[in-house]
Amino acid sequence: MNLALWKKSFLECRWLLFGCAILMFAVHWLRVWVSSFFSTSDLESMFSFMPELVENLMPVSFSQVASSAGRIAVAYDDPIVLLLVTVWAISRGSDAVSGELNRGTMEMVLAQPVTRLGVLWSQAGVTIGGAAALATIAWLGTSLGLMSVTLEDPVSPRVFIPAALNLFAMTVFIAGLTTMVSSGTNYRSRTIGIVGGFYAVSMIVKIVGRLAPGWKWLTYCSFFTPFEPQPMVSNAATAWTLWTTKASGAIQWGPLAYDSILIGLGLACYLAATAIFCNRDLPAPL
Amino acid sequence: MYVETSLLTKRYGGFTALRDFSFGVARGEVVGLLGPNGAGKTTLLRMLMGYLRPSAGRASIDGLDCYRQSLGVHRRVSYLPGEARLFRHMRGIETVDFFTSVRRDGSRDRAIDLATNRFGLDLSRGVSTMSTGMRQKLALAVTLAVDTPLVILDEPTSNLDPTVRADVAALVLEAKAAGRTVIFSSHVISEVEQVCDRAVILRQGQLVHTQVISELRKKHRIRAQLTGPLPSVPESFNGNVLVATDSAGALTIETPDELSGLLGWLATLPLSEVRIEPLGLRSLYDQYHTVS
Repeated sequence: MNLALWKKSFLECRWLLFGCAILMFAVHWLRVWVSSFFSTSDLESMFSFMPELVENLMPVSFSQVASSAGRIAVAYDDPIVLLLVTVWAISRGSDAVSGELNRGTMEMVLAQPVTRLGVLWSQAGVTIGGAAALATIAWLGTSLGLMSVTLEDPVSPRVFIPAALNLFAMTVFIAGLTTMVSSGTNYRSRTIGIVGGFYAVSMIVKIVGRLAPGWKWLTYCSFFTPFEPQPMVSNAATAWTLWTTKASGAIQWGPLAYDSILIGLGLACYLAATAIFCNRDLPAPL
Repeated sequence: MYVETSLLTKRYGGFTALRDFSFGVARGEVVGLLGPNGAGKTTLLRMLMGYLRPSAGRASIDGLDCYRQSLGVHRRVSYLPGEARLFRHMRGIETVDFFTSVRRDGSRDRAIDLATNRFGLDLSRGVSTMSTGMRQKLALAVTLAVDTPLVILDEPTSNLDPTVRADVAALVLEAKAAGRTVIFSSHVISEVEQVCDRAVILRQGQLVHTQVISELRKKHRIRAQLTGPLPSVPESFNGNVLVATDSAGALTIETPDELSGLLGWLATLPLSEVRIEPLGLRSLYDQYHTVS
């Protein structure tokens, strides 16, 4: 392990991490604060006017969203939060190989007695560490928010840990996927374009699969499917299970399985990135 | 041989960047690579660094395969890329710190001494605010501060002013004096002639000529105007000198050996406007790369 590489990797992203962390904390803290202005009954009556189509789009029922824990859990798949983890994962993943090649700095780094494996994994280590930090800060935002307000139904901060873990797993997957694409391309913009396209298609696929009758199978083609922080909070009893058995006897994947799928796929992408990067020709600075 | 390539070839689809390139560099030797853009100099250096997988052939440094054992190779090599790009988020001193801490044999003090005293850089400046030449100097400082047996410099003096070019040449000679092996590519022929033991000329990815510089220094070209008929060349010079005349009476004599033996014969010739000049690497280079 080369400490200089780890240090360089951290210094490159410290301001991005700092900015994302501040926003992440703010969004989660504010969500708790805003939630304290509403009561469960207020929201239930408001949701009663909404069409069923909207409920189909939601990962949990309206009654679960209306509860204190449900209202706060929405923060974990809030568009701003998704944007923050996506920006972190894509900017870091795209920088891993194609970014360094694009800037021409890879040549100087690899002229030193370091392996390509060491270069890639020091970068990956900082990226995954940053993902863990962002998820932890999201949970800290929720926890400190809960300490600073009074809710009609008190909620323990611990019920949000599975949601934060799911957010971390999602970030690892996107970072791994981006690093894999990055390892095979020479231009950072190309990497971002490819991953951005995949991201958009995955999101559309999940929405179509959730809304269109007979197209539910499409949800299995989206990496957003195992990203379900809200049900993990609303169904606290099963939050730490790999699978559960329904009354009908059918087996349903539990939150830990979702996290394992995302982290497993992310790590598989990192391994693929390693294989690609360690065996490719490196172009001269572009 | 410390550096050795055998039939080294690099193909990109239908394009061959380097073809059957075989050469060797002895320990302590300084070798210059010459050739126009696209001749294959950088491809060769990048294959020595293990950045490119050979399409055929083999390259080794100190007996280690350049591609498969690149980590061991990099421990023995200090390399300056053709377009050295540094981290723009760092300051000069942070760049020195990074490159001297990333490898155990990096000397921070030497790098700072080179950068500040030799190249006159202000290391408190951010890399992003430095000019291209300043960044090149900084890259040179961190490269030459490492005490490796082999130094590879790819066009080290591009972007540099003449004063610093002279400093770089002096640094290469210092490395040679310290027993280090140096390979460097350049477009500046005089630079190669000044510091190298041997020049290797490439054309379209192939090695076309190798010239020992000390032998080149013995070669001279004599130009003169004939004022009478040219007597036959003495037998003792046959095969050693090239004599050419044109219809206007211009005489050119090229000698591969010491000039002293030829001077007595020259004095007997009916010549005017005699000019004697070293043959030089330029003339040799032009034989393979004539500007059309």
